[in-house]
Amino acid sequence: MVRYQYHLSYNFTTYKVKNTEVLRPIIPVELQYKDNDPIEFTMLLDSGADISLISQDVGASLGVDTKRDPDDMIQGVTGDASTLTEQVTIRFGMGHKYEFKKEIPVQITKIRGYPFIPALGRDPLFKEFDIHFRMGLPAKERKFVLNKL
Amino acid sequence: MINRKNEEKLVSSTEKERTNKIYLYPIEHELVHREGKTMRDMNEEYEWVHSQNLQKFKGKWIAVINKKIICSGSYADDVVKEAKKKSKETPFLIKVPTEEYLSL
Repeated sequence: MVRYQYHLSYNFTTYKVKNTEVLRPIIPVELQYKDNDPIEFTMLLDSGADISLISQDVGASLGVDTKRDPDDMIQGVTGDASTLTEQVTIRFGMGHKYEFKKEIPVQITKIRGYPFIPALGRDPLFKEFDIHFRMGLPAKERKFVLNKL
Repeated sequence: MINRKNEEKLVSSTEKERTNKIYLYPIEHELVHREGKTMRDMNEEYEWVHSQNLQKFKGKWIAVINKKIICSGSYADDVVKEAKKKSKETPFLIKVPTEEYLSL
């Protein structure tokens, strides 16, 4: 049996889209680039994304030089985009008994406003946590849980 | 934190019961004190924001500090600049969806 070091649980953010209840795993995080001021954001925990992705304006708000030439490219289900690659420190779980902090690779698009919400991809988070999406449980227990491995 | 009592029960339970219980262990959230003060619970602040009427902010970024929406705008960098003019505290930026589209 896997013994987790700790776990962090979050309620899904619920939206009504075209008369359908949509549950999104959105997590409040703090992002910091180099020694710049940290900024707190909400990020979509995106199990379908290989890596984390943020828009040009989010990158600029962290102090990344987003005017430089792209060094990489991403391919998504809705199309391709040129990107910059940077290491950003992510921190979450603040205020609770345990919190997580790590420098992670982040792709930054050259497009303002795309993606719509910062996306937290699998690498490296899904290697650090056993993540459960408990969408099928009764409303009160409907949480997504990050179990630290 | 894993509930140790439940873990002990799991060891002696049947395979079916174990499978059911593994995914149902209780979730505990404990606020902690560091350096004499309780750290802000971002999750609580986010849930407060989500309980507000955000109709007029659809599609915009909002900057929240201490459960107050201090400014909003279309792009995160512009909103952060404005938030920093209004407060020295770290702004919490939240993108309010249009609620009209499913996301991929």
